[in-house]
Amino acid sequence: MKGLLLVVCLLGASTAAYGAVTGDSSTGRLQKQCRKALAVMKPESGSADSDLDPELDFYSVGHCTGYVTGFIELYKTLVDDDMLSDPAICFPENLDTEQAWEVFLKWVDDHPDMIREHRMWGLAGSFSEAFPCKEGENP
Amino acid sequence: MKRLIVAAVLLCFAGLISTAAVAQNFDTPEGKTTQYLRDACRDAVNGLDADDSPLTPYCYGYFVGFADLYRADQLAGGKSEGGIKRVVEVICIPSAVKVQQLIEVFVSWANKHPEQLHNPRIGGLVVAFAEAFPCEKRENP
Repeated sequence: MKGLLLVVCLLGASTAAYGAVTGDSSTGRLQKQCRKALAVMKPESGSADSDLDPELDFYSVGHCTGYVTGFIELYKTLVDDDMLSDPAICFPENLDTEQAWEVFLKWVDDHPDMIREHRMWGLAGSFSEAFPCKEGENP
Repeated sequence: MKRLIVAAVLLCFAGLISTAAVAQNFDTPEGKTTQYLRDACRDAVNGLDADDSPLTPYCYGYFVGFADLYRADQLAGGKSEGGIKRVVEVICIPSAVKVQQLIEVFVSWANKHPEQLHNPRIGGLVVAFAEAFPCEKRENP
């Protein structure tokens, strides 16, 4: 029974890492990863369900951080280099990663019907609602 | 048994602390360089997983985020309007190319271009892929 702690701790990372490479690309999966990331980086947010939940592990923090920043940086580059024909998102200049997580997590909470959709649409949906391009704005 | 439990708890905390430190670094000017991403991805290329290298998940996450957005039209079944269609005019990554291969291409490119390591990581990524997957030599996907 007591040894379960070690097993849960060690298996947590490998379980979620396995899930990441075996193709769970849902918005719900990214939501869980980012919730853990926010709990680690901003404990006062109280966003963690449980520290021993095998779904919430070290791998999640890195994957969420990398995914969200990879998305944002490519999107900004495409906008800056005029590679998007009709940008739907105009990111503010000083958006940090934690703010981006909060926007995404709140949006998913408000749109539970989206958790089965691909993570990219969930992220894009949350950002386009939070950071719409205003009329006449030239990003 | 108590020692085992203490060790387990310490291991969990140590992992969280190092994970938090890496996550913070990823958002700093130094963390946004091509060199930092190259170093993070070098472990992934060498087959190290999250248990062996705390940087590996950041690398995978970053490239998956890039790849998902790059392939947004594909994800939408080619039905999306506007969007990122024009990016394929610059970079033509064949649909069969996996994220692991993208990482290998980037690390290899970064190793050959030390003069670029101080530049922003996203710029390094785009240049590396534009070189590796140019559109001129093939038809647009």
